[in-house]
Amino acid sequence: MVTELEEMVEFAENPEPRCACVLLLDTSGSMAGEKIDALNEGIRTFKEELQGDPLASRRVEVAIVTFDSQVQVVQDFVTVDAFEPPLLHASGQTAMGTGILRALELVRERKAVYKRNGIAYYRPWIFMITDGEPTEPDHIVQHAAQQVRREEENKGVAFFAVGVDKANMATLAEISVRQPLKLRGLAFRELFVWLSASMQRVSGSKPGDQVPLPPTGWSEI
Amino acid sequence: MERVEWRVLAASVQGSMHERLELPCQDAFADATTPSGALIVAVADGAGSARYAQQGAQCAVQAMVEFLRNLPSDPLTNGGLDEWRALATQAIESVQRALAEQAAQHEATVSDFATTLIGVVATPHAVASVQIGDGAVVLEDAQGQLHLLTHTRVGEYLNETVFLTSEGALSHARFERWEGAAAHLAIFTDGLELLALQLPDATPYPPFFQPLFRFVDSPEASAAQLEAFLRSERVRARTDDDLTLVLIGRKGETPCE
Repeated sequence: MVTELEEMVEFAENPEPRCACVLLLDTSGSMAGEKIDALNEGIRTFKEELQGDPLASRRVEVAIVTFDSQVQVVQDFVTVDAFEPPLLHASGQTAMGTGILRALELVRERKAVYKRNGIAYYRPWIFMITDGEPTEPDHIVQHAAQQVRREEENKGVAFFAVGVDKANMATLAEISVRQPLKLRGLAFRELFVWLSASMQRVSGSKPGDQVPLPPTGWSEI
Repeated sequence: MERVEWRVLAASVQGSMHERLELPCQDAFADATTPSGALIVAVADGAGSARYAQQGAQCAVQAMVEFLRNLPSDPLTNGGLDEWRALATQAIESVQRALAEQAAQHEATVSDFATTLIGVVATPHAVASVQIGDGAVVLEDAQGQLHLLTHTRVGEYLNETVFLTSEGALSHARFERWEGAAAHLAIFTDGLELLALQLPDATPYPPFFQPLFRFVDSPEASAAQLEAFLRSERVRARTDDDLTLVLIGRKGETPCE
């Protein structure tokens, strides 16, 4: 009877629910050298960790937006199995505000796609990593900060900011509603292992739950 | 009066995510039959983030069943949906009081006991439900047609719901009453929703329910077998949440003085 049940019951063919995650990455000149190398390595770790979790690999969708003098969508949303980690290079200024606005827009577009296709989804994440501060006119940065605040209030997105090295933590705190965290040294690998574990928890979480995130072993206290 | 003997099989299993996080299974289930033969079932799903989620879910199902069992007459004897709504509202309020007492005993807040709750009453002629939070109830009528008795989607995101302990929880309660002779019922927590209901309309998926309903009708069927099914690789590959499934069938109708 046991094996019968297992063999006889069939499951509804629903699309997997999606958990969108934008990596919003600083690729300005100051990131050059070992920082950008460690970041690239971290992104590869992120993919590997997520791939090891069958549910997360079907549910988590990754996008990458970089900001230097330009803002670029290096990777539009893909599920983890189709995600090819890019090799990022660092040069130029820090168009952080514009990058934030682009990431928010990308998330809004993605949610519209989910809705059109009847796909259930979790609250998307934007995960920003920077070692500096915006070099754009103030009004752009202010506008970006406002948008982040509004989206957080409406629960449109969860926005996280991580500062590396000489990042201006005070500016980050003005932008991010959530307390920005400072990366310990070049612990990018630990950071991305944590991000992967968090994504696994969110994408496997039951409806109704604010899942407890794992403790960060990568941040300065 | 006609009397039905119900056959109830229930199983709860811990999800793989809860195993990894070393959280206990936070689902709970309770049932009872009134002297006149009405079946009462309650299923709760404790919030993973709540400190006493497991106790909250346990307390909720027990309080719900107690309230409905101890009424002077069977919950569905009189009236229609409006009467059921009034009665089930009292039931919810008594559950909320029980949770508040628990919280006071533990010197905690009620939100530490956050849980969803589904209560179902079945008689030979009607089935009624009350639901706060997620999960669903599917019934099969005498013609073998499946009906989604109750199911809710609260917010935009999959991981959002209301709890019994949420602000204004009662305003989110869904009350249903279905007139007729239900042949089978399935009550389940949200972990099974994507397997059992076809989105976007949450239509009950017959190839999921039919074998389970045949199963509960077979005399040798046991809760252990149901549990083994919920633990099977095929199920676990599709969800890592705690799962509770209650299957209800009729043993057969016998006359009663």
